[in-house]
Amino acid sequence: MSERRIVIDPVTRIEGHARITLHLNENGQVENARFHVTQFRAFEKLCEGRPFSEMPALMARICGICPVSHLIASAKACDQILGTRIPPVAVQLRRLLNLAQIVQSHALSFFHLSAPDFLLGMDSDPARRNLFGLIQNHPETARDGIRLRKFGQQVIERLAGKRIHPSWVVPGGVSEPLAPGARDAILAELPEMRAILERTLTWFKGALQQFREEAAAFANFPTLFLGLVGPDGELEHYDGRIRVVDAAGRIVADGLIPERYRDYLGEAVEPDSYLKSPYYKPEGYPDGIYRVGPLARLNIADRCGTHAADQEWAEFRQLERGAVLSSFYYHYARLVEILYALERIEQILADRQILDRHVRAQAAANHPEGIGVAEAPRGTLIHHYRVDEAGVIQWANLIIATGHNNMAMNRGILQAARRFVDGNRLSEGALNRVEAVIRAFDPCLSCSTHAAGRMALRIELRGPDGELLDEVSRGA
Amino acid sequence: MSVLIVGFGNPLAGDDAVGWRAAELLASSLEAPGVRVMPCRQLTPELAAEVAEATLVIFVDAGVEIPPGKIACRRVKAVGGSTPFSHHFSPERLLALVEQLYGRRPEAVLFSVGARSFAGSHLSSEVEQALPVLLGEVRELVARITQVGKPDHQSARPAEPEDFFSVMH
Repeated sequence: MSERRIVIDPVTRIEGHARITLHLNENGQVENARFHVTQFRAFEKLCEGRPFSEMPALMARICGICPVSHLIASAKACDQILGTRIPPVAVQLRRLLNLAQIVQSHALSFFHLSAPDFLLGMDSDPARRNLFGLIQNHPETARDGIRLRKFGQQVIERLAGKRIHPSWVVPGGVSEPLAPGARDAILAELPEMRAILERTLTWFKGALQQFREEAAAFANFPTLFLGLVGPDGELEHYDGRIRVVDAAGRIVADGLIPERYRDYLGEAVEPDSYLKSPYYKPEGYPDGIYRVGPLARLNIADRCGTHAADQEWAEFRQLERGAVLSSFYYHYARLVEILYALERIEQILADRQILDRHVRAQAAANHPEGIGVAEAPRGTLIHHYRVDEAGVIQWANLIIATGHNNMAMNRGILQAARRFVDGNRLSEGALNRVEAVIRAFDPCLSCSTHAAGRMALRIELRGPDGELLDEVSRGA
Repeated sequence: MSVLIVGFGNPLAGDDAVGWRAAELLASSLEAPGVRVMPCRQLTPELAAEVAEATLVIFVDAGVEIPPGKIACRRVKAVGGSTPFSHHFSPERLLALVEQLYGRRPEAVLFSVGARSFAGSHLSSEVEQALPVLLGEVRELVARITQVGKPDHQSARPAEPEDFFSVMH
């Protein structure tokens, strides 16, 4: 059987360079789909030879959207190299920073990148299906998104001195205590943020029925789900142990020590992508496919652990009997997590100890190895370093949150393409839905390119002999 | 009276860093009530909320349309129009966004410094030499504007937008 291909190249609104290939059979039906990440960043090699104390600041440069996540995972790895226990207030301050990061990152994904699809329609004119179309047609939603993201960024700035690439988190703790004025300013803004979240959740839950088709075909299949949970099974983003659940919602593994990730996570490499494909080792590759991030976290946790978020979590879990399988519901899960983050920020700030001035433990390198694991907005983030006697990095391994979802993203675009793409006649709406599957995962390859809706994109449909049969393109 | 100074540019891209550098230096040295300084890499939609709260916005950026090291200052007006990119705005587009979202029209000026090179992590000698002059001009504008805005100023009336520009040179 001869094969035809549809190539989406480039896929933008993800970081830099990626493309999607849809493989068709002779009847024009989609047989296979691949998401290729074609850029190479090499941070694992770049950091070799650097003093470990530089690592948090260096690793934060991986990303302009979630530098805080890399900062925290890196600092946790360095804490282990120091061999010291960091002051309890430093743990809480790092938690605050991570929660603020989740608020601003989820707000970006939901309001700026995906709300145009929800409010203007998947098939709407791509010239208007973007942030500016949203501003024109739904300014109140655009204002809410901007306000929420600004809040998250301001919390980061108030804690860490600047919004992007802060260096406040250091090996051994944080560099400065929290100022009372900063605490009060954050607390004063929380009621407004809660109100935004509550009206957004009300609207989005009411709109879910309109997206039944997308929910049915956007990476909606059984996989494992993986992430950190707290000691009582509650939602956890900073510490905790790894839990794995299956599609039925049953716990497959619990209490896994994050530092022993290599015992249960493997990393496969595909020849057509620089993004590695992690898998759950006991199931092998590729059967050990799993998902991480907000959807996974709500699937693995027994509850959130805060009042309002617990209620929303219970309602969310009613979507399906076992785990919630459709990746379309990542969007919904993001809103629940923002609500949780706002509640947790308030709880943490209400504790007087948060102003304690002992925020850093000092030590030299005492251990040859350190592993830091935390939950980034997009999922479980792992930083693993080895150093020599002088504390110079000899080797590093990073498993970025987006990478865990690589297999699911690939399978997800195949499912959506089979449902929506007619290989004999391409439509822009179908194209948008294939992209929207990737958008649901909010992959953080998207540090540098932010075309809003009208993405530079070209699809060619070629016959077995290479003849151009059809073509759809837009943008430049 | 609320003045927002936004210096923007990439600190790792040669002379593009001049806006960022200027804002960092002003943030640590300019202490005037009602004046806020923000260094940032790019103009993004989130800045709309900050800009909407200001009476006057002073943008500082590198420019390619003027000779290296030269300083230009011009008034900026909101200009709408569709763009597929939300990661980077012009000052004009940002002001249009502020008007659309918040119904506010703050006055705005843009200080530009002619750039020599956008490579490397250092300013060119021309831009390095221009930096203190730029800072002086921004400080002088802020001082004059905040004076105009004071009730005991000779005009004894609240500042009108045109006052901002009558004190500029």
